[in-house]
Amino acid sequence: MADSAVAASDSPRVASYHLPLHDEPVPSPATATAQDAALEESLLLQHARWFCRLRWLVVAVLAALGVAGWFPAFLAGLGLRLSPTWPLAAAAVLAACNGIFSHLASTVADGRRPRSARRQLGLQIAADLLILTAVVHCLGSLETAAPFMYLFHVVLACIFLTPGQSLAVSILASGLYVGCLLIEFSGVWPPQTILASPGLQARALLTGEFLVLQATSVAAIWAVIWFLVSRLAQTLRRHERELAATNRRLAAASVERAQHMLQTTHQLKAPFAAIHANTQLLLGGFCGELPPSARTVVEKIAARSAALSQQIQEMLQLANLRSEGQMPPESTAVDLAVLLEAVIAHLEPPARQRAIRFQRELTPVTVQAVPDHLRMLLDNVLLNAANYSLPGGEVSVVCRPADRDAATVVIRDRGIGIPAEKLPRIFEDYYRTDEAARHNRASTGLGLAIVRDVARKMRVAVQVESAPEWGTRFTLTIPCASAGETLGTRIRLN
Amino acid sequence: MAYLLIVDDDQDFAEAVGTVCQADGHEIATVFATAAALTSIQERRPDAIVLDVMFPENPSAGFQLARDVRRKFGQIPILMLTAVNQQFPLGFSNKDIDPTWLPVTEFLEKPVDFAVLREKVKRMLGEGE
Repeated sequence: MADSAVAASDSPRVASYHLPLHDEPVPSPATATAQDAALEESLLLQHARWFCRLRWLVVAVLAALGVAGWFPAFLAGLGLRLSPTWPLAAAAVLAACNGIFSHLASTVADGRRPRSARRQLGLQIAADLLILTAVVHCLGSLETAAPFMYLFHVVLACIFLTPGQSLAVSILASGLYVGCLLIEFSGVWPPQTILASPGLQARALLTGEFLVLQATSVAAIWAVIWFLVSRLAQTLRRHERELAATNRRLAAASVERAQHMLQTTHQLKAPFAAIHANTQLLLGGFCGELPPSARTVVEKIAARSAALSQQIQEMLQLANLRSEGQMPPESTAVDLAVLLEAVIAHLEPPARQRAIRFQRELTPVTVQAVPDHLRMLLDNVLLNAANYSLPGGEVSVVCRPADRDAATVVIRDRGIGIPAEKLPRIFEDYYRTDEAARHNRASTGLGLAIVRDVARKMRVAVQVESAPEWGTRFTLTIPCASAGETLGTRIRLN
Repeated sequence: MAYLLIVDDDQDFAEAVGTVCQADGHEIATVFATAAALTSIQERRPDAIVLDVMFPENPSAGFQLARDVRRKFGQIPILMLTAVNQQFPLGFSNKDIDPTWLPVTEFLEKPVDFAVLREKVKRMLGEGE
């Protein structure tokens, strides 16, 4: 996928990575049966279309045979004799049938004839077998290996259709071949062959006993082939269904785990809320003045508690983004410049302690977004830019309209940077580069996972360019129109 | 000064909130279950309620209590302590968190910054008067 490629950027040592906007689709257990049916219909349609493509090849071969019939001297050199009439006639009939089949397949694809792919596949095979019988008769029903061509259809029917349907195809193929022999035996259609000097004399062979023997042999051999192939195909289909069921169970387990994580993290918040509340009481003098050494200890408790609380908060945000809500969150018009200014104002005081400055160039631009989601995205990218800047560094933030339908936010730091080979992993849950872990021990490794989930929900294109010692540049392209989220917001976060 | 009812199943947290509100001169009552809250309100109507959402007996008991209070006791300002809202439904139904149906004056997310809590209580009481 081009989106996820790591490529050289404007500087040869700066690598660039585009966050893919899609995850592997996860089927819902509730709709599994319907999805299976739709998948089967889609596969049958693919097979029907493949049959049509293959049939054009057969049409071309028959036409080539017909053309070859105009050069009897050439054919005689190969030990063959062939009238151009029947191959060209067969090619014309097959081409006409294939035109109809292709049209019918397109009506399934565009929804005009839903759930008819299996019937169409059966019709195609039946027509093929009829034409094949005529071709087998003309090529030589006994002297040549032409009757083996029936087996192509028997095998394909075993793979694509149910065992009952493929048995019907096998019986039809046997019946048509035996019927061909009977017609030849009766003299209505005398036996033909393309062999100039047939080794077997078909007319001499066509006795009643031989017909019975031939019909029995053909029926037995094809029945064995049908049994073996259909059994094999059935086993494969069963494994396919089991695999699909396992996938569904895994998807359901994943949803359950996300819900469990949501509840657990929410419960974890409660003790930290109490610790935070009580440290505030102590530090706020509500329980009397603390001696300086006790105050230092309480401040340490408060700091560690706040760090853990922040981690829980990020886990909750991630779990919330991944939980299946009753309705999608609602979006509203958001002025990006105003939102960025608010996020920077929130991050500036701690950044100032490390002498990190924010350089702004914010042009007002309105986008449709869930305000809190967009805030989380910007907050995490900006927080990373500040956290991974070197002391005294500068983070530049540019916001401008990109074109009529999008806005661009560029956040650039000159911090520690990310090695090219690690760029594709930075959006994974809990992933931190060694360099990042050494630089900022308090990082949770969830910030960019939140960015990824929000970006995918809001269809925000995220490009990261980075190199060690050069720093990192995030370019966010935010659609001005809402993507998959409805208008209007009523309750806001504090 | 006002009479505040604090409803939270976390005793440590509820008492800490109570200490801060008392320091601001308010009279407080603390209960740790929603059923006890209704009894408390019946005995003495508070000027405002500080209410948690999730209780052991029911994960959305706070929402239900807010609606019961509105139905039985009319307009009492409620500060709801939750991160649950329409952006973060936490598995709650939209009926629970629809502000037109949920009669809550203010929201505040845990862990609570007491400076913000005091400001919100002050504002809420101003609105309630």
